[in-house]
Amino acid sequence: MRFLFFILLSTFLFAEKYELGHGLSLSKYLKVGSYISTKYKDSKDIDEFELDDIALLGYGSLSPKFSYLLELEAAGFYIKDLTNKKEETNEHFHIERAYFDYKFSDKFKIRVGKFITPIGYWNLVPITVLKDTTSNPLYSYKIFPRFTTGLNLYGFLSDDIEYNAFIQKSKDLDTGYNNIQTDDFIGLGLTKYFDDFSVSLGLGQFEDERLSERIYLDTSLKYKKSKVEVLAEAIVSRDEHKSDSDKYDSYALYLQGSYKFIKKHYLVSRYEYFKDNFDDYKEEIFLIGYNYRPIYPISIKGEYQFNSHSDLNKFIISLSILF
Amino acid sequence: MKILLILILTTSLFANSFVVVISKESKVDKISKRVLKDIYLKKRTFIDDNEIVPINLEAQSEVRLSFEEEVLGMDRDEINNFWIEGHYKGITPPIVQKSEKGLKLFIKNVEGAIGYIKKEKVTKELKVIYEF
Repeated sequence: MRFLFFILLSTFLFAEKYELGHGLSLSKYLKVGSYISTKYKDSKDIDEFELDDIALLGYGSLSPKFSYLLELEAAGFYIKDLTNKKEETNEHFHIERAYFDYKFSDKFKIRVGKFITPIGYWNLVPITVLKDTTSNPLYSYKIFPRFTTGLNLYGFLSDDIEYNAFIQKSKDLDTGYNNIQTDDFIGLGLTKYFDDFSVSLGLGQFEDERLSERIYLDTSLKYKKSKVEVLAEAIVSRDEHKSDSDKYDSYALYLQGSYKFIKKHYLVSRYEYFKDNFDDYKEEIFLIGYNYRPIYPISIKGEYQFNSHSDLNKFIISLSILF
Repeated sequence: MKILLILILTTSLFANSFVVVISKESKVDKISKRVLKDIYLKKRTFIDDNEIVPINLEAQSEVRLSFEEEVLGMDRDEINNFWIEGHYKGITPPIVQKSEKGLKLFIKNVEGAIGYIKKEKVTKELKVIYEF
């Protein structure tokens, strides 16, 4: 409550002109923002309303070369199970991102702390309000840890090639707040930029409580021109399980297209494929959706997923706002 | 009629004479369109080893509109959306000067500052590093 009071007081004392989606400058060294996401989900077994994400964001530059970012998030803040008439709350804020950046040059920059794992495109901007669908493709959370706690070296190798090299050799900064728990992760990625599209390639290796080693290779493509955006990402991994001496492969990919058919209105379609040979599990999803942005930092979305396991077919609508 | 034709021709010949400038003291002599775009989108902050500070004019400035169209290749909506995503990534847009006079003064006093102005407004303290 004191924290909220401080934020409100600071806002009145230091606020410059505020514009939704652009954050609020509280001082030369601090800009704050926030985002929220609510959704309603309906499938054969689930009928629920969720205040999914509430996040607070603070960042700034302490010098031209030295900057920081902190993001705290409460996921599943409030869930109302409409079938069983049950409620669940989670008001604990976790560290989603917390890092410092130092720029030696455009060729060599360092990021230290907990950061989004620099793989592909989807994972780099994972919040609902900035995406065209409420759901995330299986690709984005089944194979690799979404966040890394450690060191990221990045920069440009040339005018149009960017690299990322990252390593984790400790526990997560907020243990438990990651899709895959690891304390040993290393990876490398390259992105080549063209006029209207870019392609990236990455590989990495990590272990978790189930795997003694997973090696993955991923490739991504992003095309954007005028009213059309196409995203395609694929990843293959080879796993050594702690419980089994054999090696098993996993595959995940998606292809998504979105089209702005009228100003502020987007149609979106996505195909997803996921296969895990260890669990002998396969899933395919075809999605159609609609995204309405009255203004860009506000997104109202609806989607229907046709799943190869028909029990998992679902309808989702959401409202998300970036402050 | 001939005078009108000459006027139209002259106007079209000089219509897009805008330049990107830096202080005469800077070691930077030229910049490619791609790097210039990256600098204004804050993906890069250096040219060689020289730190660069991009400056925008106000949103309604004729020179800025031309710069955004010619160099960034983005319309105002796309740019606005880009900076909303930038906010999530912890990146802020370039600082803004209200006039070309203010922009030139900033460039003169802040090492590495760059900005765009009309070609005829270039003065002896400034160096042209890109023309569009």
